Amino acid sequence: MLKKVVKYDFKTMGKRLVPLYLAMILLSLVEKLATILVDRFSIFGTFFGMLTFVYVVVLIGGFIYTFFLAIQSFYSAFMKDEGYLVNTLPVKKETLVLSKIIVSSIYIIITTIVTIFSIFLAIMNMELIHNIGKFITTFIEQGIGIDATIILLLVALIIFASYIQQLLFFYFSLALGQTRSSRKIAYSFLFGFVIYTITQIASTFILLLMGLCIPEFRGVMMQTTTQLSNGAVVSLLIFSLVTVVLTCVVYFFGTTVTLKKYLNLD
Amino acid sequence: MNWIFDNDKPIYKQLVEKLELAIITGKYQPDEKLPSVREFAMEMKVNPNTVQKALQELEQLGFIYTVRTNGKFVTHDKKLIVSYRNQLAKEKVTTFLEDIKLLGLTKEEILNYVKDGSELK
Amino acid sequence: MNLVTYHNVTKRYGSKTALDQVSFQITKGKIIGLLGPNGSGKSTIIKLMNGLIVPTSGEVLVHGEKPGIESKKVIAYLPERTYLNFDMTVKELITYFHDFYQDFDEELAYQLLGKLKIEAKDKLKTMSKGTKEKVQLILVMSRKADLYVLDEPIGGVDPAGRDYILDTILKNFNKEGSILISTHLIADVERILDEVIFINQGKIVLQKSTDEIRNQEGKSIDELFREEFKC
Repeated sequence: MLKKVVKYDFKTMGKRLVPLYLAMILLSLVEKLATILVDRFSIFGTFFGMLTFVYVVVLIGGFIYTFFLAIQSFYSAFMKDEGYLVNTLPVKKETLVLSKIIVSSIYIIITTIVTIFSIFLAIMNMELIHNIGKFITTFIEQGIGIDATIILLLVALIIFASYIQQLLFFYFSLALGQTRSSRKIAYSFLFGFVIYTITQIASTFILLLMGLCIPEFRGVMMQTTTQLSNGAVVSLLIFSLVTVVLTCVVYFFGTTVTLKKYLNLD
Repeated sequence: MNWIFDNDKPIYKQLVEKLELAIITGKYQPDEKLPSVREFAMEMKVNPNTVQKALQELEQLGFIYTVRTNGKFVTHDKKLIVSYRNQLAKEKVTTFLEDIKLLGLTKEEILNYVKDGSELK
Repeated sequence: MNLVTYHNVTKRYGSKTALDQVSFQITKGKIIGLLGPNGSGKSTIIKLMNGLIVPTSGEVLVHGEKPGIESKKVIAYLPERTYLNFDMTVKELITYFHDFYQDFDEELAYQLLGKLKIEAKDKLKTMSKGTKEKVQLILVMSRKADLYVLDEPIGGVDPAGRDYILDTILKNFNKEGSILISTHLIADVERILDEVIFINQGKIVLQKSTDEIRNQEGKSIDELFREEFKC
């Protein structure tokens, strides 16, 4: 069942994002062209400036748009006319929400990849390729510290999990807001504020607890130590990741239970 | 078949009357197979349960019989059909005479009207 | 066990009471009309049955259980509004229904589309409201459900369309299931109804068989309705 739902969500979101991706690639090629031209014909100066500006806006906008679409598709599916179709399917709410999360996650990764690729296209030249080549060989020769890789990996995971947490935060707030009979969006904001506050309090509390339990952290907190060992950094990151994942789980079940027991479709 | 119903009288009763008439007048021949409940319902735009009820009553009155898994058929009891026809005719005549009495005509005048009427095509 | 049972169901929206202690049953093998003026609570009753809203108090039961996945498998719902605003073709929508509803008859759906001269390749977004309504009806009628819930199925349709819809309803009828039709256009449908439920201002006024009403009152359902709900 999840596969079926994901298939449809993936296709629907894809239709809205593929044009963006094409635009990004196209713009990057135009940017590359302009870079070459501006070298030779300085009159292109201002045009090049504007073009670069537009290009950067599109790149950043791509992320915002992907995030926005993820939220909008949730809202449409459960709370607008489409809700008459989605909410009457013989499919568990958990499956439906999970599908949105999976598809949104896949697409933010794709957006990231396309953005990186597009930047590559725009600024690629012989010198850069040469430099990157040197960098990679030095990196491999010197050997990467295990710790460094782990830290990088954890940071990436935390960023990814935080993205999902943000999505689920919106989902939960919207789900709570729609339980009201009027001014649903206003209540969504209100509930969102409440959820945010509670989450902040809870995570501060957990961090404090954590700090008290691990001597090294206590040291940092009391400002008796200024340096953390790699091991401590890794522990800290793992704890953060776990906190984020836990928050995601809480938000997820909060959303699905609300949609199951307190649905209020107009 | 003309399926016009009055919505202010029980539909199934009207259905029984109409089907009786159809059988008496030979629209449905003895031993002819009747359409299924669903077919009737769709043709007349009437609820299938109503059709079912009407057919049950017709069976009780003896107008139709059921052959298991095969459907419902018109009776071949000619005596029954004839006796119902006569009964219906008598009822119609009684109603007619009651109505026409109100006009205060004599027996002769009534007979003349009937004779004239029956000569018309 | 009844197909559907409402037991003292109350639904409030803030200070407004949409349904007040509503109780009734739907048994199988019937075509039932849910009749009432606009705003009387018909749509509320229907949304409760489909799990789109929850009661403030009381119980809504389908096959003895609260609306959920099991009830959604066996109910085919035609909402009052046109909700087909997706970036899909009719063909894709049919495949969608086929994917999620086990009792969906794809062949029948294409047959019905053909009869109404609707192209499967057409995009939903480019269709007229009338065509979308027909597609919505076809999607519902192509399911072999235990309960068909039709919310104002003939409201915005021309007389020829109405006949077609009533025909399709009769064709789909089977003794194992029931059909619930909510409407305020009574004269057109009363002949196909077994029972009627009158609702006014959130309260059930009566639930009786149609022929019983005709027998007892000597009136058509439409006439009784007009009397009952005189402004």
